Amino acid sequence: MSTESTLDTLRAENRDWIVSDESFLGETTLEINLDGLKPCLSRLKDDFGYKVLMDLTAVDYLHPKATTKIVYWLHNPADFHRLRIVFFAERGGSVPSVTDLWEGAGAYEREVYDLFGITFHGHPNLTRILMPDDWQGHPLLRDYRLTEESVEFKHGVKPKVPSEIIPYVKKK
Amino acid sequence: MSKKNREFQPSQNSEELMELHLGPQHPSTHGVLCIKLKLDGELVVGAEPVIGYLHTGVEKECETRTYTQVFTLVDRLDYLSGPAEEQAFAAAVERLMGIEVPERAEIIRLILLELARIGSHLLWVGTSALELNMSSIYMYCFAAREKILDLLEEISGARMFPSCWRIGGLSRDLTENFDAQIRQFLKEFPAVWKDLDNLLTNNYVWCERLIGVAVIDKQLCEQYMCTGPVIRGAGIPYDIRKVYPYLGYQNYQFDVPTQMEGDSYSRYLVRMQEMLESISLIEQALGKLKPGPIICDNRKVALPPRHELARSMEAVIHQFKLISEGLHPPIGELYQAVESARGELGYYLVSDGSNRPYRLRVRSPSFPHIDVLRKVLPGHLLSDIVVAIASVDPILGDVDR
Repeated sequence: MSTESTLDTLRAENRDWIVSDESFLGETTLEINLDGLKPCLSRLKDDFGYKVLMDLTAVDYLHPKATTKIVYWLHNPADFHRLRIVFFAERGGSVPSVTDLWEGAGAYEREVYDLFGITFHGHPNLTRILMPDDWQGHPLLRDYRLTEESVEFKHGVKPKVPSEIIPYVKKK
Repeated sequence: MSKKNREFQPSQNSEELMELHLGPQHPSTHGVLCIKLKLDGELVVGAEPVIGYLHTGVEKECETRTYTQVFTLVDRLDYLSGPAEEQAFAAAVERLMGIEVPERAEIIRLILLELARIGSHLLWVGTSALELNMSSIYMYCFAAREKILDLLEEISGARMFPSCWRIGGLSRDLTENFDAQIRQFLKEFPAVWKDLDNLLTNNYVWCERLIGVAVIDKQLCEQYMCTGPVIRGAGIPYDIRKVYPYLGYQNYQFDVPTQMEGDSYSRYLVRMQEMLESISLIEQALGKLKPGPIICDNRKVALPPRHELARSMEAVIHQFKLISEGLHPPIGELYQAVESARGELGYYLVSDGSNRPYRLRVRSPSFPHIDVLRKVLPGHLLSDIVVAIASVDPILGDVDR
């Protein structure tokens, strides 16, 4: 089944789940609202053959609205179609976990929690995975400043802030 | 047949369980990996991988660099297949901007990628054998890998991280010596490969230690998103080079070796076969190599040739703009996958139209392979743990990013 017909079927069934969909460079992105997230993912997994969750990540936005986009990148091992499911969550908010659909998603969800501060309810062990356990803040948020650690024996040297040049978000 | 030890029943009394941290300072964890083991005598009843000791924040750092500067950061992630990382990032930006890479550059890139794959697999065979106390094999592998590093040095000046990828092509052409040198390597390598094959494939100790250890079957691969030699060792011929071809891989003749058992020995066989496939790919690529440009001639993307700078004001302006500001891909997001030596390496790039990536996500192949160990290790004896970790070929720089 092609990606288009999968989308058509989903659209016909559940008009209110799908917020928008777009196709860019041959990749289809489907935006889902909170109610539709879990049912939609499990339906795609069970009925449409998107059995592998290839990637789970997030993107943080400050403009025009402060929000974190959770990205599910689904893979169909039978015909190699791929589908990107995105969901705009509140920054630091809570999202249902998909560990009951894919056991392997646990590590990815821990990573998103660690780097973006999104909590996944229903996750069996949501702790930091890459950063130290006592770390403050979530580094991949756009307003998290990237600073240089001051070196102990160089008192008086002002640490440089490489990120002061970056957080440059285009105003629309 | 799985080697999981079913005769021992784990004792119900949790006080008798011993908790042991294998690593992070352990020579056979392939880097700084810690595995929290629960042991009942010699039997592993629980395992939890702990990662993050090598976290360098490259994804955050990339948001502060221009597109050209990112190359030197990303090829240090998976430090055994730097070319694959560079190719994935370059291909993502090129697809986003709609840039055609010249044919010669594509072929040279393919040669570099396949050389890196052979080098990575050689290092894997060598270190895995070293962990089973076969130190001579380690020496053979490193002697052969040294030739590959010399070839990379000949092309780019650097031994492990070529960093010669540019958006739209390569930074420099092949040298005069390169052709003779790589043909010499292609001539010698099959004998080295045969040596390794003779030493290991039917070796009693090697087979006893590897067969039936760390079985990762199809279902587990699906649940844990395993790719690369792990999924091919479980009988699924999934290879990005065939499924989503890049760099013209569809024009080459090569097989995707698979094995059915899904244990460490299958993965070993898959990797050994892949080396031969890579050799054949390099030979085919050398046959297709024709003189031509190595970088696209779009001046908004690639630097103007040096000799133009003295003559043309326009070239100077382009040079200045590219060096000081970099290039501006259009707004959009995409996912670009390549087959690294470990599996599917995907770059998810979000561009906001500025000269720096808004977000660069690296979907590293080793990350799920480490995570799947928690399911695979319980039931094995302690001595099999080292083999099991080695068999999924984790690179901790790639896991922790």
